[in-house]
Amino acid sequence: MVDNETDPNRLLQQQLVRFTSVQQQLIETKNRLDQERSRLTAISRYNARALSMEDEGSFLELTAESVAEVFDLQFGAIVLLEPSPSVPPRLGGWTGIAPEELQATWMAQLLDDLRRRKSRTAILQPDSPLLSGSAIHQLVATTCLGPDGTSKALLLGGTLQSHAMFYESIARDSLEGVALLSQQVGALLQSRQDRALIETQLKTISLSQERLAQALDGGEMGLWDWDLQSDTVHFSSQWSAMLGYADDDLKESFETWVELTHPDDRAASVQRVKDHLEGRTDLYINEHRLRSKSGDWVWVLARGKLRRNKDGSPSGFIGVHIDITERQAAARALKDLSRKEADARKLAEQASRSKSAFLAHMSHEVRTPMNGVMGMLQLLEQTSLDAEQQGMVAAAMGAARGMLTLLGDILDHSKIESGKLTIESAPFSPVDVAYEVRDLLMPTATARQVTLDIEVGPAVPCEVTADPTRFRQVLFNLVGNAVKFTKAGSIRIRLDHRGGTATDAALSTAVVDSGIGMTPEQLDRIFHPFEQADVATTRRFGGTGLGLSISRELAHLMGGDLTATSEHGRGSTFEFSIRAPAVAHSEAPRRRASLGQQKWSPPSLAHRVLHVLVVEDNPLNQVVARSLLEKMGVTTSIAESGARSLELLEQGPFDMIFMDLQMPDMDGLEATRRIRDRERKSNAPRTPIVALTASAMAEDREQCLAAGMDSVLTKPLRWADLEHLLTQWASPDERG
Amino acid sequence: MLSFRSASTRIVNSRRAIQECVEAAFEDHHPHCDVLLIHASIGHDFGKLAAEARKQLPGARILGSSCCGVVGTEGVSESMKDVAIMAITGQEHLAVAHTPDTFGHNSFARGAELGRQLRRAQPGIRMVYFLASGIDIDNDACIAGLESVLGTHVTIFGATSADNMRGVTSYQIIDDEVCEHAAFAIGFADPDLDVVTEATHGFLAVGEPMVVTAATANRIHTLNHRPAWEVFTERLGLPASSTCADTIPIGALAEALSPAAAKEYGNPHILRAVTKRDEDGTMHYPTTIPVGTKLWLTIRDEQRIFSDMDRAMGRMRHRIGDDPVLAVFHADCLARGRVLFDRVMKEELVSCMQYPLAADGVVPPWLGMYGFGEFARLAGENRFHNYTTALYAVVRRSGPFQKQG
Repeated sequence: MVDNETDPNRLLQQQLVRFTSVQQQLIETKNRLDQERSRLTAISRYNARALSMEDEGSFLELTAESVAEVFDLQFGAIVLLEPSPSVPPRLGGWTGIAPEELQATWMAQLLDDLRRRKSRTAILQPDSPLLSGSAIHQLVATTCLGPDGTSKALLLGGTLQSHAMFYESIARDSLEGVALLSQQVGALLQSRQDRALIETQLKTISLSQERLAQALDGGEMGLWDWDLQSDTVHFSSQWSAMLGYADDDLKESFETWVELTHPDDRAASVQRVKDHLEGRTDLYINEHRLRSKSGDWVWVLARGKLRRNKDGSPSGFIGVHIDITERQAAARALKDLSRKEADARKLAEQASRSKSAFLAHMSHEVRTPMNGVMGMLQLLEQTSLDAEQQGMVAAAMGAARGMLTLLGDILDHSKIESGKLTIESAPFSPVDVAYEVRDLLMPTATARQVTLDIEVGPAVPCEVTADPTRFRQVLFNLVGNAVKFTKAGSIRIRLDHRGGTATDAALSTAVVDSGIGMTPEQLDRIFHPFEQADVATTRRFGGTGLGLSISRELAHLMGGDLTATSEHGRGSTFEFSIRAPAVAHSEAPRRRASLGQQKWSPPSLAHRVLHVLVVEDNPLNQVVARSLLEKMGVTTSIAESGARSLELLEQGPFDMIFMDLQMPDMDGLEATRRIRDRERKSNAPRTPIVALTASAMAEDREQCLAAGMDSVLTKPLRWADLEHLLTQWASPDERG
Repeated sequence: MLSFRSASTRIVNSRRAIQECVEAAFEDHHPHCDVLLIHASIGHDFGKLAAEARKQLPGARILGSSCCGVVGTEGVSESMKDVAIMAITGQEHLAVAHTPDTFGHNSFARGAELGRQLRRAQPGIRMVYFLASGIDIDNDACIAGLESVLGTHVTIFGATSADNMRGVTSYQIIDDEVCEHAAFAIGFADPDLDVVTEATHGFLAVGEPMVVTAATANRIHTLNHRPAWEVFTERLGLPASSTCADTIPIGALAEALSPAAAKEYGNPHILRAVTKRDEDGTMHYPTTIPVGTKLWLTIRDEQRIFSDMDRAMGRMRHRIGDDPVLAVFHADCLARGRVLFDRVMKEELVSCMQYPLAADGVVPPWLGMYGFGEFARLAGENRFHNYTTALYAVVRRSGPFQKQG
């Protein structure tokens, strides 16, 4: 019997089985090597596919799948890491595993563990505490580093407990392949980040270019860009199109621009370019003409700036052209228009000056004889007249005053129309003015059995700052109208004041009458120049129809308004406001005695006999002045010219001089200047000089004062005005 | 008229793998088929594969199995995430049957049940693609069950599902359901259709045989009067604690064939794999095994592997004649085809298979898998094989033809 252990057949059989085993081991080794080769191929394939993937989600999913595929694992995942430790890892892609299995808790521990061990790769075996309680059976983890060494992602692969029996244990020798894949993924992530950055920058550039293109297009600008290195000039399509050229029609050179530039503009334009290139100007700006393809000349506005390299050397010169042909044409047209306008204005001004001169002349020419007439009438009033004669004189005086009012209104209207009426600003008592007006009109009112009362509101200050003359004029007009249109009844002047700053303090004055009133239609017309309530009114009550229009304009000029309400047959109310701030700490009396109420006592009787020089060339006016003054107890010398007045003054002093302005040899202004000059040189006391002028224009008054006169009286001379002046200027206080 | 389309991929995402296969199989055509057959590596999510297949092909019957790698027109792929499909259109000539819980002890009954279902659906069934679990199955009994209803003339071809040689579990997809011990069959009733089958292994039996001394159906309790596993591993020089995964690559067992079968096969032995063992040393055999059967260990012979492959392909080409090959189903034993050969050999072998069946260099629709076992006719009988490459060329006959075997 052959022993089993020595049986040759059995031994041979055992050798064959061993041989088969060894042969199988060799095949398995070859297969493993082949598997490694396949992994490398798979990694390369992954790399190629991943490079072409634009969508991040798809890229991450492919990466996760590649982990599972390359290493024949059940699942794969990629977790994205942020540079800041405060930002938690983000699961980017996964396959073969539910995302909730990839818990942040053990992942954070895993990352800590890798950092602590300064290792990039870890294999967690089933007994790893990190996987305790997890569905994961085995895990391989590796960090993907970017070129700068920062951790960009964590690759995870492994098997779940449910399928662990089908999978080989993750072998240490597979880590090399894992590391290789992680390198690829790290590089790809960096590449994607770079690409994203580049794409963002390209997008920004593209957006900027789009905006620039839109701006150039919208602004109808042509772009030119001169590369100083290559000496080529790029002209944009819009630039070429501006001149009617296609893109390829023009050679891209500086010479092209020079050739196209109008010969008259060429030298200056080239010089401007040179000035900018050589640093003499900060910005190149030039308006010049370029020849279009059709041969027409196109005006362009060029703006440009030098572009520099980092080292400061010029690299290019870039700018835009704007077609300003139309603008230039418009400018030329505007210039023509301006010139025509200037001519028209000149003519208008000339006409206005002529009109003003005519008015002034007319005023002067009317006032001069009127002075004689009214003077004589006033003198006549002083004589013994019977009742009929007195009535005739009064009627003549009324007619004369009406004519003067008409003259005044026309002059005012003309000044307002031409914008030459100036508003003064001076402190005055509105209450006093109201009483003055009332006193002036009281006689007429009384005669018509009309009461005329004044109500002063508690807020009305003693003094306000405004134009007293114009305030008086308006109030006089309103009260005068009220008197005129009130047959019997009452007229009430009501004053009130609203305090405030210089710009909003207002003095309001209401004139309320119980007169004939107006219909709404009449009310609509009363503020129009030369219109009264109706034609019958003009016929019945007289007047120019300018008073209310002028009053309203004056109210506007004084920062206020004039309005009216009325009820036909019941009366009217005119409310008039002006800007009038109160004068602080005013000591002025609340109610000053009206001049009109004072009984005049001739200065000569009260003090001494005044000796007055009247310089007047008109014989009638000489008589009027002398007569009026002598009636007032004043002795008078007459000089028929300025030169004569100087001679008389050399003979002895006068208490006062009334000086006409327009005289044949030497006018009043010159005579005054010489008198003042002489006084200065001889250190003589200053003699009051009052102008007697038929001119009512403001500039005449200013000329008088400038020449050295002290006051101005406008012809025709009125008794009351003369009295006032004599009182004012002939008293020792005033003179001193 | 039946038509076939195939595709394969190794995309790891199960849903996208099916999407890509369907897209590739149908190219620009509207995807439609009556039966979709899926082979997928064990690493895939079979539930997702089934769901996506249903989504892509709503009217089709979905059938599938797990395997240890696939073979398509593009060649071999052996990852844990391979998918290959064959889409079959022509419902007038097709029938599908399936049974649950198919084990060694009820294999005949389940086989018969499948046969009845097919016959009810299509009376003229001429050939059957059969697939059952490769674990705890009596494949001969399955064949007998099917034949008991459909007759022995019906060609049974197909494979048994597998895992990656762990012998733990394998899956079957039956429409929307994923099973572990189901079996299914596709019956073809097209009268002009024929299937030519060939199986070849190229192994040599060596040494003294082991004798089965105690067995029940497909369970071998003892060999040489000792616990079967103990004797088997001892002969292999492995410890008794070894697993099937350890023994399968080197432990092909050879059974003697009848002289007629041996002549056709070109090898006196048919091979068997032990896919499971019990704690008491009982081995799960893939077929019913009578007591007294002699079992030899085997060794591989590369020259013979290639020469036998060439001989089998020559015979297949001869049987096909000039008729067009519509599709090829391919079952390869994972223990041989996948494990025993290196990549170069595999590529050479696949080339040896595909080149003779290609028309003008175009390989016909091809669905191959690495499983635990193969079904192919041998000497006029339907037989179960292990450790073979089994090819099933579906041919449209242009005239009267003689059925194989």
